[in-house]
Amino acid sequence: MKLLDRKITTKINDMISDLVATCSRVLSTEAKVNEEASYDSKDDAKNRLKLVLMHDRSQLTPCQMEQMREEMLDVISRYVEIDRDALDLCLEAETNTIALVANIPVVRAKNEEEIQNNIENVQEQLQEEVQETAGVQEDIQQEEAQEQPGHS
Amino acid sequence: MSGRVIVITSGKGGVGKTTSTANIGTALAKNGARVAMIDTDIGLRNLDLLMGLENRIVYTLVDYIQEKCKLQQALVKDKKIPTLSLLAAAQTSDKTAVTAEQMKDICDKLKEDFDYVLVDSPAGIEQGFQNAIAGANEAIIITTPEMSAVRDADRIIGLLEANENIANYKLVLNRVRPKMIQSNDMLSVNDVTDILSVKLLGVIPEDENIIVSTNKGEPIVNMENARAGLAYNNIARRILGEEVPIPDFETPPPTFVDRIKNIFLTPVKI
Ligand SMILES: Nc1ncnc2c1ncn2[C@@H]1O[C@H](COP(=O)(O)OP(=O)(O)OP(=O)(O)O)[C@@H](O)[C@H]1O
Ligand SMILES: [Mg+2]
Repeated sequence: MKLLDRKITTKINDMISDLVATCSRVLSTEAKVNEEASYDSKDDAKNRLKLVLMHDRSQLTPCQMEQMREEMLDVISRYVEIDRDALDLCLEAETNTIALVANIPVVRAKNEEEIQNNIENVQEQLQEEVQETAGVQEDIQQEEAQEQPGHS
Repeated sequence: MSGRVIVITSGKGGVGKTTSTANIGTALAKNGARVAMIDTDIGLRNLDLLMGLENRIVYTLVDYIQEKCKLQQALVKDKKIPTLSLLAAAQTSDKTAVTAEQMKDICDKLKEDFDYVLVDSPAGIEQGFQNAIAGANEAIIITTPEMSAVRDADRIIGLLEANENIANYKLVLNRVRPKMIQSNDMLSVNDVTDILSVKLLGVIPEDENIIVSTNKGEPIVNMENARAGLAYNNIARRILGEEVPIPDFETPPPTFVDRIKNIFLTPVKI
């Protein structure tokens, strides 16, 4: 008699745990579905649109973004040692404004002497560049003139 | 006094430019204005179909430009409203048949005889669009609450802004589904005007009757009680200078329970 009782109890226990398992499985998928349904897809659309319009309106090409990134890297690395590949530059939409967000992991701060040297180097370079710039500007103007008909 | 030349444009195709031109034009004429509509979608003309005038077209815009007819001969009168006329696009010529100067010339001539000249623009931002805006002083931008249409509208707004002949432009939001807005699955009217920072001229709901009206060649403003028809008529009245409020599509209509509650919550005057 006792043995039978034991058997029945284990069976019942098994069944209950089975039931619990099934229920929680069903409930958890249901919870997921609900979560998706209650997520407002229009907020997604609104945020994505704001960002894409920011890019459209700013008229910065991906190429120009990359150039800006490089130039910022050059300036910053005069003062601190950074991981060049890790610099992440992007446009982000906040509630009412669009921000240019740069995430720059710093490896090491540079000391006074290093900084001074870097700045002097740059000044020398700048002098050289000034002489080159005139030529480059002409090139750009020519390129733009060639691009114009394709755009209109 | 010379008439107003209004271009109806969108950037993205298929958002309702031609439907809007036909209905705003018809509604303006029904309100007593003299209206000429120009279809500038050369090679893909449709405005004649929506107006049910396809069998009456003898000469087109291109015929006039090639001096095969007078401007008067190319203007087709509406079936019902004598003050409403259509200048059809050529179906066989290609886009290069017309220049921006020629379009401007036509608009300038038409605005001497008409209160409103509505120019239905083709999709895109190429020559056809440039031609369509050449003679215009005002613009109506059509968009739907979809991302791609809104993005293209923004592009158009940029181009209109840069054009010094366009004194003002306003937005018409088409194919709005109030239920989807209420469940936050569609950009709302405010979302779109916010994103584009543009003034709103009107909102047209999604309406199956538009298909029926196109089948019949009868603008929907001629159908009684069609929601889109009423909305287009309101837009025409706003263009004429009347103050017509834009209905609210964002808040769900009160449910039965809400209405009962309101009865009890409304303070009773003794
Ligand atoms: N409010 C609306 N409700 C339902 N259907 C609509 C509505 N507005 C437009 N449509 C449908 O959308 C389609 C495109 O409309 P229409 O031809 O006016 O657009 P369009 O901008 O002129 O297109 P295109 O760029 O090719 O010239 C048509 O089939 C029309 O019936
Ligand atoms: Mg069209």
